[in-house]
Amino acid sequence: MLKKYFKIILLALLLVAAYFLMNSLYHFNKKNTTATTENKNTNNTTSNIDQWKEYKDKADGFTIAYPSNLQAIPLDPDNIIGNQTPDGGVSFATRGPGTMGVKIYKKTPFLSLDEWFIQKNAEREILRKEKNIHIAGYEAMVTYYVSVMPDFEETFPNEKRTVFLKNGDLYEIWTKFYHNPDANEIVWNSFTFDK
Amino acid sequence: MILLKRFSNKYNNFRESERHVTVFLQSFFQKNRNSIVTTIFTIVAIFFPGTARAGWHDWSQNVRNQAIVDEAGYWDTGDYGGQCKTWVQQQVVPNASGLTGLIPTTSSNYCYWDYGAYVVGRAGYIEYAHPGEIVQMQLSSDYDSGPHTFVITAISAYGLAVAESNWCENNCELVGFRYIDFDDFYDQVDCFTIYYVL
Repeated sequence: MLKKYFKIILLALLLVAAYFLMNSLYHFNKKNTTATTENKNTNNTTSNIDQWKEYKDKADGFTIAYPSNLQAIPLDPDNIIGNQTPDGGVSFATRGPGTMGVKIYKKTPFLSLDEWFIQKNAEREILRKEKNIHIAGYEAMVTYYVSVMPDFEETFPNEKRTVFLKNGDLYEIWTKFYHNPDANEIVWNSFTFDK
Repeated sequence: MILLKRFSNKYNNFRESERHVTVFLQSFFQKNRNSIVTTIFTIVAIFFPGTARAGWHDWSQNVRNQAIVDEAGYWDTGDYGGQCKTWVQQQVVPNASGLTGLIPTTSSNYCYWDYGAYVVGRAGYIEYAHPGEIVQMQLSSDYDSGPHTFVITAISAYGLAVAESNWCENNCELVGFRYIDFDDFYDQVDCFTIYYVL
């Protein structure tokens, strides 16, 4: 009996084995393709940020570096931005929300960075101090956004606002390098005033 | 003595009546506890707006979604809203529900939120999203791969209307309203999750 159906059983076993082999190969290939796509995306982001351009603001006399994939859009001082009215500056963006920028508030009432920090935290959104650095020789305060809820808080460490005072003018460098936090250092170090 | 007996009878009658009233009140409160609590919450909500809405969690999902659409609609273009996620987390949903802390933190890859007891997320086509649902997404590399959050206010056969904050190149932190064609939406995102709030 067994001998009679031996060939059929063998054929069925071979078919089952072939199915599992094909299935494994398919999933193995699919996994590799996904991994390749992810790597490609990461490389794209990194290569974009590896190439930097220099923006010179003739009106306010400063220079700053920005990733080459972004477009520089000078701020129009006549265009009020909500409750903030910068007197000058620039934004750097792709087609969507901006990635970084500079806002200049001339003759600001703030005598110190701590005063600015207290005032900002009195408004709706909360900032938290990260560290103090020096930008173009001026002491600067690096802050990031925090959303405080009753039971927890959400921090946005990649959404930074870095400010410094120069002769009564407040300079704010805002950055959102979600995938390349190291890029902040490049931006801060690149900021210089024309002589 | 007669006087004392009369007084004693009256006192006993009074105690009996008092017992009846107490039993009646206890019974009434036990039977109508839910209605009483709802009524009190409603009165509080009417006279003290901003406190917990009566039975947000008891409302149907359609009503909750509509409340979120209504709240987003109360805002005007150019109002100060703050960062996109913060506006939804701190303003829109709390104002609609009267409850804070419903929207959890965002995961590190920006495509979805961390676990939250009062949000339900799903992947799938944006065409099947509903007004009042919230989208958490990571933008595509053409849009510099950052996160974004918005409220869906309407869906048509070709696209969706959204309310959002800080969709601008200069970190304006202002509220705005956009119509996004479905094709444009898919160009703009790398990944996204659609959420409804419980």
